[in-house]
Amino acid sequence: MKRIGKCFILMLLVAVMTVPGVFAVSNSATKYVSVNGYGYTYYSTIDRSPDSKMRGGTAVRVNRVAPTGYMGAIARIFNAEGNLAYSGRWVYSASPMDYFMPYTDYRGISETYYYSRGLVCFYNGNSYVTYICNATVNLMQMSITQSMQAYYTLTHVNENGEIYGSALFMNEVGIEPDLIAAVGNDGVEGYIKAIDIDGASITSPDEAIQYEKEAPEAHTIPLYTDDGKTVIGSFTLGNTDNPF
Amino acid sequence: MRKYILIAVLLLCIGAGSLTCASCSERTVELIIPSIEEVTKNGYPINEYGETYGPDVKNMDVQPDLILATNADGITGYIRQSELNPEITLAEALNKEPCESVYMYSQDGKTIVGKFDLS
Repeated sequence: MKRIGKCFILMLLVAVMTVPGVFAVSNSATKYVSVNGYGYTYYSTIDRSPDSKMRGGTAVRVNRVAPTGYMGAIARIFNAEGNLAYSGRWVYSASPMDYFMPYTDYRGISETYYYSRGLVCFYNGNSYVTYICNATVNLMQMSITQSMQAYYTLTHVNENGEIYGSALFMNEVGIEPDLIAAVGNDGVEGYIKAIDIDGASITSPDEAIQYEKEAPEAHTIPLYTDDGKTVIGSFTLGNTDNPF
Repeated sequence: MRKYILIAVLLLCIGAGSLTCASCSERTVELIIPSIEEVTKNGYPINEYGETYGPDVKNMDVQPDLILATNADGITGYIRQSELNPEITLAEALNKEPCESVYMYSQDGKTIVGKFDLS
């Protein structure tokens, strides 16, 4: 009995660790400014703990060690409507450093989507100048159960083990689908295979010239149903009429 | 005699009604929240004291003086950004006491509607 119990717990842990989106971190685009001879790169971060709490961070990297107190940062979390849900305090670099990243605490927040957008300030010799960081993408607040449910309902696997499903969800959690939903020639809806697109990849200038010489029909791939076997149409790569 | 009593009671009711209504309207200040579309198109609105107010807008680099916030109790209002970060010197920055919370105001930046706790 004991052996079975331990085995089950181990399997559960492995399952949780491998479900994407459970441990999720996102950084915003960086900004750069030079103040008083120091080059600062600054951005916002947001992450979600395993027990579905959200945390915002504001990060600063310097091109060389900046003196004590030269950097200040505050981390803030907003809901999708730009309403401040949670804010940390202004924190200042308490010793010479070239990397500074204060966070808010982990907090359970009620609504579903949040982003992080912090503020930074840099000492210019006389006073502090405040700058605003870029915002991160929206991260969904969800529990481990919800995360696993989302994974199993929004992604599917056919009998050949090919993955397909919600492109939006898979993009957020970083899954590469094997079958991609597409509208083929003649407006037929189906799926194209990722490997059929990769098959047209170019690895040398000679191949590129050859590719350009070939007729468009050479770059037409099959359109399948979700079983990845039944051909229901065709899809021509590089077809600009196609909304996909 | 009954007619006069009836009129008197009627007048009394109207009087009492208008009195309670007046005090009601003084206490409640309706919260005005500009939409993200409005702010993107026309910029942040300005209140009667010259402060801008509104939500954070992701693709704008300007921040309003009063930023939209909702506290842990679900009360929505505006917090004044400068109360979080007063203009300070290097020495003050390193020695200042950590701020526990800031006030939440309506868009006039004066009427207190709640408190916003910081981490």
